[in-house]
Amino acid sequence: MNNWFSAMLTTALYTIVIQNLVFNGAYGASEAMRASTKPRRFLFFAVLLTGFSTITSIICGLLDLNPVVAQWNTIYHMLLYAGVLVVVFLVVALLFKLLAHPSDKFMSTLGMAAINTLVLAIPYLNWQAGYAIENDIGMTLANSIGSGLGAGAAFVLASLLIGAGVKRVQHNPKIPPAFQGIPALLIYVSLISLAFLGLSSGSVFA
Amino acid sequence: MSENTKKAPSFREMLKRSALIQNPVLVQLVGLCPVVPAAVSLQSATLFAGMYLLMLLVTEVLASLLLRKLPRYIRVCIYLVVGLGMVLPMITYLEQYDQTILARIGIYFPLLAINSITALHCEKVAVKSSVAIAAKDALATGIGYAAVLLLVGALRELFGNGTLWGRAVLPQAMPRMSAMLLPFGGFLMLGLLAAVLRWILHKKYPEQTKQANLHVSRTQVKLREVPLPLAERLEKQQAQVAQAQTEEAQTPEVYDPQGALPPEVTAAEEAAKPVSGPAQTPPPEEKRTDPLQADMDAITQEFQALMRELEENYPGKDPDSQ
Repeated sequence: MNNWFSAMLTTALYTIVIQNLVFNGAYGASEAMRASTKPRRFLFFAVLLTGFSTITSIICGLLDLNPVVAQWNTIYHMLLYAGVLVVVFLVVALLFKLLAHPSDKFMSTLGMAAINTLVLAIPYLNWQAGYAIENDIGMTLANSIGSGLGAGAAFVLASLLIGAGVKRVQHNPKIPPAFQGIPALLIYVSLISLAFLGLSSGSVFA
Repeated sequence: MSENTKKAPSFREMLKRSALIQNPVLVQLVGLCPVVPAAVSLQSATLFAGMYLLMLLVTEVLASLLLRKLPRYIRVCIYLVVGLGMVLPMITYLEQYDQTILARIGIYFPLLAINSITALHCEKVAVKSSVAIAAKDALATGIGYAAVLLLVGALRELFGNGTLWGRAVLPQAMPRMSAMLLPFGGFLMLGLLAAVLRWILHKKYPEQTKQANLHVSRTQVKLREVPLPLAERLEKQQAQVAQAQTEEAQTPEVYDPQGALPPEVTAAEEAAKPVSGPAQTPPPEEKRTDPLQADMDAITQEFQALMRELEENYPGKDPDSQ
């Protein structure tokens, strides 16, 4: 049990810090930038995204334990992961439609939280990292849960960092006019990405 | 054509708008995922650009033709499936003929199917427009996206590897910025290109960029009109107040002391009234009084009464001396 918990925590920390999906892979970067400027909807969006990434990660991790699936190539794995994501999203959407009668805005947010590069990339990265350990469902689950939660936490961290930068960059008169707004925001994000590059021992010059 | 029918925009106008003024990456901040991590060479960028242009065209035309009546949450799943249906055969082809480039593009090529530009344009344009407009929009947006991909890919390959399309361009002695091949370099390159685009648009299309300027606000990032700076708003407000005061000063004040009183009954009007019954003495003429004057009279009478009281109580003596 302790091993599972430590494996889950290690995977989550790795996903948040070392392999920060937003800054080191630009997965979900568009969504992170947009969510950072919507403080009212940000938490709700982050919760939905974390939920979808965790559920998809768990299901795909368990499917990867199947010896037939484990031998598939990239194409079939991508088809499988996309199929799982679509099914999970449709089930959740139908449940909300039947039980809660949500507004169009809510359904739009639900769609954005589910169908994005971050959520679809998680199971593929898990497969590449070998998180599905043969004959060890517990460890596979721990890795998958850690990876899904870590992706959500990485998204929240990225959005908060970007949001903090937006406030400083937005109305700063010292920034030249050509760089005001989006250009300054992108350069700010590049500096954050450089910081995370340092955490993963990257180098600037060859 | 009736006056109410809007004229469909030409492809040139749509290209100018979608590719330049509202460029999906440099202005709208969508579709960053394959550009930042994967456009690291001109070859990979060309592959992404061509594939995505075709994918967006097919998806928007399909959305315009067949998907209008479906609910939105089902449409977004269909966009993903259509995108994968186009990308995966290309991956199969690359696996057989060019594994090098496949190793470079990795997961990002299949992730083109889930690009946020597709859902955005299909929902905003394709399902609400004709097939022709959807196709033009897809081409215009795809060209804008492809242009950014190719520029970013070429520049990153040049500064990161010193090559262009695999051929050495820069001298060997020049240091290579390997970080340009990482996401940091992608974000930085996009920021610089966004600044260049912003400068060009302000020079060439100042009015249109003012209307379509992306305003990064605390509440949302969207295309809207940029508000006037605070100083200009205050000046405008002060000018309005001064104008109102000037108009008020120019209008003469009309003093109507008799406004609250009933109109005077003239002798002619009184004589014109029919006399019924025995002759009646006409009522005494009402004395018109000024309300201000009435107040003054009342105060004067009170003062005079007070003076009389003082004289009765203290005859021959000056009341102030006591």
